[in-house]
Amino acid sequence: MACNMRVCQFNNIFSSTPTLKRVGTCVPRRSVRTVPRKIGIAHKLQLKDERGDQFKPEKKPLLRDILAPPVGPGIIEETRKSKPPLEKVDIAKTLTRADVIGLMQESPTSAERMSNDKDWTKVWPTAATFNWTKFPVSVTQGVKVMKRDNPRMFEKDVSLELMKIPNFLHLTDAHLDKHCNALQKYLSKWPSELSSSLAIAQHFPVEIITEDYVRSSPSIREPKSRIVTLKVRVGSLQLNARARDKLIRLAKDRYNAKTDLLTIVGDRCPRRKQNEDYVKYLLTALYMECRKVQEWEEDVKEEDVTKYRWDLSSSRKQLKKIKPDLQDTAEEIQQYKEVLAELHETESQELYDKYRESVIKVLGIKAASSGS
Amino acid sequence: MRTAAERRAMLTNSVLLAVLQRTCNTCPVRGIKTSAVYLKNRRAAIPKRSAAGNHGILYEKATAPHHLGVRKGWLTWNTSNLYGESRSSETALEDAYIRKLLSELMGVNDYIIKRKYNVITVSAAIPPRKGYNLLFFQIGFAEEFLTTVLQCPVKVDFIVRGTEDLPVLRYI
Repeated sequence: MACNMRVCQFNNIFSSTPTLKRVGTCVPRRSVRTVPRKIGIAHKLQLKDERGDQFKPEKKPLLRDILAPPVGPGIIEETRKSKPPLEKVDIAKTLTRADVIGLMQESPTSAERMSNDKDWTKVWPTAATFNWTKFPVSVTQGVKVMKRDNPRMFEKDVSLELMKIPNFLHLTDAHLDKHCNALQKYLSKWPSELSSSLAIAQHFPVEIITEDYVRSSPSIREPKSRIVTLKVRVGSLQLNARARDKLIRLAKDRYNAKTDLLTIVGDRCPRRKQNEDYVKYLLTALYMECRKVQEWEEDVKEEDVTKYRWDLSSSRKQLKKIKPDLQDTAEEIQQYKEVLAELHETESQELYDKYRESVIKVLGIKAASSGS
Repeated sequence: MRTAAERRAMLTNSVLLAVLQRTCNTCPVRGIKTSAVYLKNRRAAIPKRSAAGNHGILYEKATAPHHLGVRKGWLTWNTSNLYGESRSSETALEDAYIRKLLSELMGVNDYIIKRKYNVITVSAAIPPRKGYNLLFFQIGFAEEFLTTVLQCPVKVDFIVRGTEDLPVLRYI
């Protein structure tokens, strides 16, 4: 969006209000405005001074001066000395609503009256469409395509482009300071124990994820916000190897072996609270089910297990045949078992060498020199 | 002498020729096309030039739709057309309704409709007129009426322009 902003010293221009001259019904008032505004109401108001003549102020009367006329110096004061004071007329009561609006129309805009030290947060407190009467800087927006295009079209009091774009006049530094100061009292210090993500994961192993939606719609309810996701690290649950294996089998694709995370998504119920309760129930039920040992779990065989178990393997049977005297707790067998289990996970030359050594040890072969 | 069959054949041929000639003369593109008309030389929303060249247009109309987001902004701001969002058709219909109602009521054509949460804000630049009582009535009426019809809070945020007449961008 092409935007041309020229900042003029508006205060210097607008602080010196030009003197009011009545020429017919038109008043050339501001240098900025090309088309003079008509005086609509002021001349209709029969404002009279003490001498009965029509009240002709040197400066253009502001609305507040009309509603509460100032006791000014000069002629009025002098005449008061000689003549008895007149009855005070409450002009505000004699004005109709239309008159007041007319006076507002004629009086300078709030941007023109604005002083340099005005608090901008009070002028523009919240998000609002661009209002030229409040914005004290000369701004234009639009692209001049042809030479004959009228540049007046882009100025702030007639340009629609400035009203279209979302402005950030409510998010200046002063605004943000105010927001921060207001929010300060609701904040508390972050606990030093939870300094790292590792510590957070240790203290809070269960993570519940919900989503809130902000959008433009007559209904602020979003059906997708009911979905609750529960994530828990299986390592943080107190499970033995058997129970863990059972949990992973029951969880199926909800378990991620890479991250060791169990993810349960609840979206069956219409409300978030219900889904959250259901997800927690599921985790509890799963945990309790895993800790139970059923009868049929005892006769598990080699082809049933996901991870290699030496005590169920054919390797153990063969070894028992060859070396029936050797106990399972013997050192050689322990070493052999570990290397074999490792070999089912990864392969490397070192492991094969280790495997070779352990086999020789278990079988009690008097080894020839290694490497043959 | 020709036989009756020959005469009939000649007549048929001449008729066919005439039809073909007429078709070729009147048809803007010669030959037969089965594809849809491309209309490459016509574009939407480009104002037509007047003969005298005295027809004034405003910036909104002078800037073509393909310059949206480049030379001019959108008149509608909402989240309905974003990916995965619902009710884009309802929003478009409501916007059309608001525009139609307000342009009849106010006599101004361009309205900016911004939606935030469930609030619809309609803003426009209204020329300063004598009847401010009327303007206030119009604002109040529009707010009440649209709020009732659309079943959500509608804020009418009319800003009175600095000049009575809207300056014309160019005459075409």
